[in-house]
Amino acid sequence: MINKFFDGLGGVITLLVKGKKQERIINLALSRGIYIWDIKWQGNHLSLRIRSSALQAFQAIAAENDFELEIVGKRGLPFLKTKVQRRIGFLGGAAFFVLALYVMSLFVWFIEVDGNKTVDTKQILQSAARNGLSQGSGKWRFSGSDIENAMLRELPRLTYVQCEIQGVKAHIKVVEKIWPDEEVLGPCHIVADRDGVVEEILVLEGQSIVKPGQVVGRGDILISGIVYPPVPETSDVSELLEPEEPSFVRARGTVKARTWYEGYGECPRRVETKIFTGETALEINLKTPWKEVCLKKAKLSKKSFYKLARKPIMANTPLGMWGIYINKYHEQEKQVQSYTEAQAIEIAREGGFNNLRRKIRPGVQISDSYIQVLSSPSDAIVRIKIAIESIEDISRVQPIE
Amino acid sequence: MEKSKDIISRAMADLLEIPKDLVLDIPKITLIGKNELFLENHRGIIEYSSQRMRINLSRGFLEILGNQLEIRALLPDEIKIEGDINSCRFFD
Repeated sequence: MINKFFDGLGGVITLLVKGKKQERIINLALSRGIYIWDIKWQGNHLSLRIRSSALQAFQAIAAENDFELEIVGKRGLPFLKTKVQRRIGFLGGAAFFVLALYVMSLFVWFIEVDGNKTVDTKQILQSAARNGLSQGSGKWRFSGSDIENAMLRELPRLTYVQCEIQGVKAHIKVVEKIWPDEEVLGPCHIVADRDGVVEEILVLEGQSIVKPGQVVGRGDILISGIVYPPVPETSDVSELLEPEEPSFVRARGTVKARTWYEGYGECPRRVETKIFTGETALEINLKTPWKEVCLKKAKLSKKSFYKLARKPIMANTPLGMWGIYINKYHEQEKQVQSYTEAQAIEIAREGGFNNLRRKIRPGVQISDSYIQVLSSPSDAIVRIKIAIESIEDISRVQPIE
Repeated sequence: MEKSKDIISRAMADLLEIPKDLVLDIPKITLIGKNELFLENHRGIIEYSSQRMRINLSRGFLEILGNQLEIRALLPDEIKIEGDINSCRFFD
């Protein structure tokens, strides 16, 4: 292998020896230290290989002994020059392609933002663009850490920004700040957050207005932040002084009340669903600024249903938007499911409960639940009404105006 | 004279346990299957055709008969032959 490599480096010539008793030339070359190999007969002539550096010496031997030499092949690095000259266009194109690839890889073509929930992606991208990172910007023109610091300054709702460049893709990872709930510090009442019947009341500060068993509506004051001084227990009218001014406090305490939630659930007796068969078909389209060209068409059956998942890989170039759409068709088949009335009621109940759970605040204790079937047995859809009775803290702080 | 020198060399090689091809300058043949033959300590080629090859040795010559015989590599001391080798015979 090594020998072949060095032979290729120095150049190898294949010769055809013509003349009488050609095998003589083998011994003559051997005696002069010329390395020859691949010696074989080709018709009446002897074919052999020598290194290009030994050609002159070999020609001298041939001339001295009346042999005729014909060069039938040249291989190796020294002979590559002529090949290169012949294919200059191809090599130039290849070099241009590599160069273009390298130049294109110096720019950012894709930006991905990850980790934001409340801050708009557009806002993050605009902030990055203001600091030098946008689609098509050169990688040498910005520094990842500078952008991170600038974005943190510009977007106060972010606590952490990581700007990572992977090839032609910039990945901006952000972590948002979690703000504490605003606490009312001034004088305030505790009011009912929803309608209910008071079950239990615990006053830490302020004056209780309601008693257990009392029906309260949303917005009613439960614990007042206006505290009147106690009326002195005396029968002497002369001792009665002018009433003192009430004091304003920040009412504190919890008021647990019995509350009700109503929900609705339904379930068709006959359900047609589409399930995935697992078969997929792939379609690839090339998107140019002028036209969308199909590179590979998906083979779809007219009898089946398909769900399309479209994945675009786009790049915003100075010539416009270029990219590839990968369309993946997931085959589906129709399945009909029939339910008995009891099954339908159970499904509707579960659906109704799930809807209700979204309305109920976390931590609410459910004490009782009722179901009322609204539909008749002959109806195609079973409809039910769900009522939940719960015990929860209905207190809400309301500042005193 | 030549024979006595040969006997002494052989006795020395036996005594000192040295490979005989090094001391006595005798050929060493390695045959791999019937397609490859390595020969060390040759003295040049006497005759070469694709069916018959005669290689000069320090004493006599070696005749190789076969089909499509090719000399794959040729060095001052070594030779590698490829082809369908049918027989190898020594001639004094």
